[in-house]
Amino acid sequence: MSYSPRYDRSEPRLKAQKTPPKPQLTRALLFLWMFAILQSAWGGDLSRAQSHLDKAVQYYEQGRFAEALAEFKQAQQLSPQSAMPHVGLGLIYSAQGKSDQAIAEMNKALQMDPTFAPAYKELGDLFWKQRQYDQSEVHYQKAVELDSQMVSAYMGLGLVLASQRRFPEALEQFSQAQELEPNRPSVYYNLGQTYTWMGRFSEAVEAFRMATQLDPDHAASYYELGIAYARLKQLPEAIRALEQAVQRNPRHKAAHFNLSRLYTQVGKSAQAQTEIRLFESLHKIDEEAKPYQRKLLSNPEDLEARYMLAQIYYRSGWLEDALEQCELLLSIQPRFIPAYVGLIDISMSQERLDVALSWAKRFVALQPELALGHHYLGLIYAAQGSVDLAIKEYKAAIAIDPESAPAYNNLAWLYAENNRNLDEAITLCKKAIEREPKVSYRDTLAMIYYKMGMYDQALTEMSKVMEQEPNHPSYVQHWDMIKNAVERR
Amino acid sequence: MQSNVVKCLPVVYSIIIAAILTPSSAQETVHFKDVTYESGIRFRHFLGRSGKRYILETVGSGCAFFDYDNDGYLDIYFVNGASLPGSRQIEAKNALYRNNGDGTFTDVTETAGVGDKGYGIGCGVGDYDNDGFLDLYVTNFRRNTLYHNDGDGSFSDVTEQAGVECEVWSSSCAFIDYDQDGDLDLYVVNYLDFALRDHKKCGKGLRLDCGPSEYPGASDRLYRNNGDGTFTDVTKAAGIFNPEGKGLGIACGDYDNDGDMDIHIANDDTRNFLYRNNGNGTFSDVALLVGVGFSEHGEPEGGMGTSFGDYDNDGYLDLVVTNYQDQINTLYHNDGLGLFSDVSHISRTGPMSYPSVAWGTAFIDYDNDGWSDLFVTNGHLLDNVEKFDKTSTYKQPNFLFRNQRDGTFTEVGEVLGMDSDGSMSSRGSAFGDYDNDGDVDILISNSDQPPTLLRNEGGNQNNWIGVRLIGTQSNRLAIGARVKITANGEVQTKEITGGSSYASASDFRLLFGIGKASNVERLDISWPTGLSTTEHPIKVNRYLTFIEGGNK
Repeated sequence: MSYSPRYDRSEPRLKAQKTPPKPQLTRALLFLWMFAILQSAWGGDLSRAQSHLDKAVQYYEQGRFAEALAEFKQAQQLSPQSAMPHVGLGLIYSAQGKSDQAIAEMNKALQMDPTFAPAYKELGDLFWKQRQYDQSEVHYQKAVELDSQMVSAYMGLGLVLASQRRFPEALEQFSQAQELEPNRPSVYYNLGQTYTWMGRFSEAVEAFRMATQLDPDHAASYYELGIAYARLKQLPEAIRALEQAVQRNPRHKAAHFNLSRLYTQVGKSAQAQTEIRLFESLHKIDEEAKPYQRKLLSNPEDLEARYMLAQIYYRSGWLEDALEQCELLLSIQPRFIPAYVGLIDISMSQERLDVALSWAKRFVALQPELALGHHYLGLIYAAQGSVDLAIKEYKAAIAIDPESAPAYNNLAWLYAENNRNLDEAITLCKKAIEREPKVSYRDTLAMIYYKMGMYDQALTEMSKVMEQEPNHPSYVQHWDMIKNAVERR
Repeated sequence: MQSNVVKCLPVVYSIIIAAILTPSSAQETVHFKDVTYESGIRFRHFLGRSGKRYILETVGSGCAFFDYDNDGYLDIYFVNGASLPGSRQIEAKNALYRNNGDGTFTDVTETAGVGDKGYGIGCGVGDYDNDGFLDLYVTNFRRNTLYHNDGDGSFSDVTEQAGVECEVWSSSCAFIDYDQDGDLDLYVVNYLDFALRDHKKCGKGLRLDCGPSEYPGASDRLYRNNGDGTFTDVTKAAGIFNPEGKGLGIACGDYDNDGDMDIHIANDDTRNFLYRNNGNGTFSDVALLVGVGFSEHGEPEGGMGTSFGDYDNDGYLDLVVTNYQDQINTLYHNDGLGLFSDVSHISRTGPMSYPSVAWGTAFIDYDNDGWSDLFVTNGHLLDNVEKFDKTSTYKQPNFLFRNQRDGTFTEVGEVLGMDSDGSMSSRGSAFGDYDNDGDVDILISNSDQPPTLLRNEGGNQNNWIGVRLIGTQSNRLAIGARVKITANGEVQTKEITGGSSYASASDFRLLFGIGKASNVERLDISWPTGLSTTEHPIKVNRYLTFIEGGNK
């Protein structure tokens, strides 16, 4: 018997957010942190250990697993009898997909403190992920025995029972969770899933409706509601729910797929076509990502696979996912430069220049001898309007790598934009073109000539640009500017 | 319309008892008895376990029910694996068992000359030269075989001269007359572009197998029958060239009721194909358009077997696809508007299959109540799965879902004794009435184990009628013909199909259960040529043969 992948595992579930996705166990960790503070059985250097623990939690909160891991390890060395550092290590290993190591750490924590219910709950989760349902069930049971108010453990127990197709028993556990926390949306979501597997579709509808009321942002609840309505042949309601799902999550592939089917059934073929196109484009990305996802399943530390995945997400505009992968890359290998590049690029695409700057600074601190880091700093400073700092960084990039065409070009463009050192800008731009005859560099050169009033030279350079890219909107605009200037002359 | 009944096969069992039983009591008294050993079948499938865990070792083989010697009794063909580098080196070969007509079989492989020694996956049956004798096509790993039935109890390997070697990894196949020119063409389903030298090691610890995602797919092939014993590869011209396909199962049927056969392919790891016959020698893949390409949630699944059948008697062929573990088998209801709805959950056939790896399948009316039930074979493909996945087992029980006549099904396999001697790791399955007693029996190929022959005992307590068609202008087997009967005011529709299930071939005769109806009020045949035949009323509990355009 097996697990239904459509159950909601998140406890608590994070809402859609623009900041980098955090591990879903944040609240649990904070709880553990508080618990650790109150713990009296600390051995070793308590205050120093606590300090490392504080830092570890902060890093963990920021998704900086590598640093968090180091801090937890320090705390563990300073306080070898404490359960908490092991729990922290276990959570990080779990987030990194290293289940065996996570289980080992959680067990160590329980050796230190056999009454620590959250560790049992985490072990329940970990064994569940490994499909060891008997073990998972035992640990969840132990968690609720030790803490009869732990809703997440009842939820876990419900899931592990549902995974074994023991649906009536699962319902009991979800109902227990519902009694303890009647406003938790995931309770109703999982109840809905259980009713679905039991063929009780009307009750599933009610449960999913409740989930949407309690968490109106949760696309998955709307999706399941739509599917449940469709099974009951209530097509208008199904369509409405699925429309809500894609409104909340435009990347909800399954919702687009089913919307297309339902639109077809009700004769709305144009909408059906649109939805199927959206589905196909999302499916294409999924298929591209799948080989790397599979590799990561068997080896979560496969840097190449994770980097490829980040690239796919970035190219597809799935910036949050790309960001998450880059952060995971750094948690595995803190010196993995492509991850820094990815994080900078993504943050810049999101126009989060402060975040980009922070990553770029870390990149340069790590590898000051690489021109690329300085180049990125130049770009970010320029975007922030810190022209002098940008100039300094571009010059640093050129000093490190005198063959760096983009650095020459960008510095030239920066001068031109700010009407500074225009003669030097021409020299720099020519150097860029010598090294890499890119059309965008020629455009830079043309615009510098233009700014200097050297319209003939500007026209000559710009005509070369237009020969290669006659439809590029920026180039067309520059071309018109130069032509107008020539005509006005 | 003229009546053209020409032959009635002997009915073995009396039907008198059936007349006093109600349909519900018939349901309870049906039993499937494993008669493999007592029937004289000694075949054992050889997987060729090499220790290297080639992906080839996972898929198993199929089987066939077909009457090769035209004696009126279904014979049996088993496809076998073969030795692989590193495996026990034995001379494994396919086997043909002749039905002795008394419930026993005799191994006639040698005299018939059909003991193919390739690494066999599946087989298909058809009379490609319309000579009245069934020919046999065997799908292998990298070289298929076409056996021509010489009509004297023996076959000849005519693969090369026919031009149907198809030297890739083939799985299922089907003979269909896609261009309706009166002779059977051949559709070959191909799985992966894989050679042993391409073998990869995946995973760690115990799980070293690689799934199909690790290897590229291979396009299926369509061979047009030239009418002179040779075939022409028309894959590209017909529009079915698709190297992304990782096909395992095929189902042929006229899903859109436009008079020509369409083709559904169950692909492993990639979306399924539904090739709509355009009626001009070409096909269009409409799977996405009509809703049978993906799971209900828009995901490609591990499709293994597939079959068409009208389970709700609305005159439109519905579709089932069997899938891999952690996916549910998908039952698609044909809505009659060129669209299918996924009713796997509503019908209750899907959820139960979640832990299983499912393969062969068919809509069969095991209790002759006039409503098609659903049979599914199961078995994991990894013989060590228990060691790393406690949720699964290598041997898994097969399913028989009884049609509740309200769009839902109830699993009754265990009740009917289908796994009385412990479950197997099953693969292909074929269906037919081998003892001609008026109920459908089941033949199952088990991976690296003996097969299972399940004799239906008690299905014939309800009344029935069997229909055999002989085409004259249509292909002789009348593959693609549709028969509609009315009994007790209820209408049933069945189609003679050239292929379905997984890697297997079934009885070409159509068996209709009619419950307690004492006669069939009307029988309509739509022949592939467009001709039609109507007969009424018809006495029950016998097999009838109809000849296209023939006289009484």
